[in-house]
Amino acid sequence: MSEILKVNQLYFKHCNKKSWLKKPEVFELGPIDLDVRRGETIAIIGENRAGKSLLAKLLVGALKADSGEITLNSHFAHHAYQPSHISHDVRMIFQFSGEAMNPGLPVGKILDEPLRLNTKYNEIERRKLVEEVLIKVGLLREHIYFYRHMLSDGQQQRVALARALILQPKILVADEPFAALDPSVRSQTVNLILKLQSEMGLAFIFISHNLGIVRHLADKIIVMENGQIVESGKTETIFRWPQHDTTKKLILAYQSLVPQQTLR
Amino acid sequence: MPMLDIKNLTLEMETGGVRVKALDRVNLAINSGEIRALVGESGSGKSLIVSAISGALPPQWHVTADRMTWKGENLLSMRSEERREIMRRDIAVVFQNPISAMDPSTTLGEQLEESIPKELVEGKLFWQRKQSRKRTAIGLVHKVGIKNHEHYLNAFPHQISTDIGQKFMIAMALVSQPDLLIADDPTRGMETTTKTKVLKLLARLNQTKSLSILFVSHDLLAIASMAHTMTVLYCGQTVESGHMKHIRKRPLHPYTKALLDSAPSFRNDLPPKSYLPTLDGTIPTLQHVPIGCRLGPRCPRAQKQCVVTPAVRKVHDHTYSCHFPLHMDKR
Repeated sequence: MSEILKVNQLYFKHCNKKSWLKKPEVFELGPIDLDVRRGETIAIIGENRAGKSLLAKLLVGALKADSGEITLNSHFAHHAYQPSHISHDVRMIFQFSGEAMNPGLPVGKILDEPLRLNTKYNEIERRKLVEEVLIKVGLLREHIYFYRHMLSDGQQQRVALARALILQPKILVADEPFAALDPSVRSQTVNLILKLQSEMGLAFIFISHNLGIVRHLADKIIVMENGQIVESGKTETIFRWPQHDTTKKLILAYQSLVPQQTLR
Repeated sequence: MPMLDIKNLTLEMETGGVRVKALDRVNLAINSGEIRALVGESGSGKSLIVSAISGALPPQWHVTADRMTWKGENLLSMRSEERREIMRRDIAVVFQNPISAMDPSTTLGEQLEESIPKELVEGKLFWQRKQSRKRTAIGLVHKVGIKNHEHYLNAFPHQISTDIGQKFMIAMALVSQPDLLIADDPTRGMETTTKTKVLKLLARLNQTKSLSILFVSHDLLAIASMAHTMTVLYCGQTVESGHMKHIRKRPLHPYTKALLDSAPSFRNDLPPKSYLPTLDGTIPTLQHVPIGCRLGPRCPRAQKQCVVTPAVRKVHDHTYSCHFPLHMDKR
């Protein structure tokens, strides 16, 4: 397996200065080192305000890091500028997929937009690609004409996935993709992501509070606290032998909920 | 005799000139000292049941029930003053979204002190009563696990995080020392550690004060860890209800099985990265509910008879409504 994304000493500082008399609230992220291989699933866990979403945003380039570098496919993607191929190869799914869609545009337009802005396809080719991606995520061609409010939660999630996949990315970053979904729709989404991963060799980085899903889906886990990666490793290792206190706390809290003996 | 007893609760609302049954003959009974879980996906009418019990429904919706009693008193034929008195003292509700359920213009401390019933305040003179209220408030806040009371009692709802808000809602619900606590999705969007804390708090209250809890959620992991009995709701119909242990071991309704399967944590034998078993499609909207058993079009075991609403059947304490239940194939 080859590395497709390499993060080296990524650092971000957020300074919230409310008034010049008060001490500013400083939040520091990093420095962070991270390797992502092809087809790998990485889960980021941690408590609230640990900087998980911030890291996701930095990885896709929605925010600019203060220092450090992200190397994509051995291309040099420095923090200082964002070449357009980063939005090709790294795509993001937002936490509330429904709210992240424009209510005034039909699904076809929503999916067309990234193509129009990032590629040189003409209108007919774009239309064909949109139809293809809709079928790939398990929707119908007719959904091109649907608006956000006409779709159910699960379908909205599929559209969000389609929008992320339409530029044929290599890495998908998702911020709590399963949190707002119902159990049965959640399983459908999990299956869909597994299927797409095996078909396209996607690397998938996701944030989740649901450790059951994390254990099921992830190859590698990153535990974050206060903007630092405190522990990282293989899923089974982390779940069986947690080392850091934060990890222990999270895993213990999870284990206490899971029924110990499975009833047969 | 159950404390809260609901039989065949039907809620009809009018949308676009058509009457739709949002709840279709729901049965629910809560015994004293019991934690009952009400499970269902969003749109299945969990929150509607909560509102129907608390009487917070708009007047143009029609609620009918064969029986809806609280300790033997009929809730539906009761005068609104009497019902309000029951809601004030005996039943407490924790609503779904804590931040928006609170008054945004006053501090949390004031709201909490306001909700203390008169007869629980000690002292005759106004400063004594004020001090007593404050003491009660601080005690309650500590009880639900908020340590820094100075800071949070003086904070406004928009200044606090969701889990603190949730704990405050529980504190406000407990202030009148109720017999039944209805918690509408109290752990949504919480991280695992906070969730465990809230669940432990509820379980402790249940044990020490024999508080009955109606726990409304779709988080099966949380439910399995604390609930004694469980009622499963699909699209406004109760599909199965019984002891947690029995349902976990032998779910009779296909929907219950699908719900249990959707949580990978329940199954140790599941290899990582394997496909999870699911039902096709999603929960139908209220305007398009199928006739008969509402699970019909999604159900893998559906047959011709499923267009007739199945009757409620009972095996010991385990009730279900399905024509072709699992584990019970006809010999």
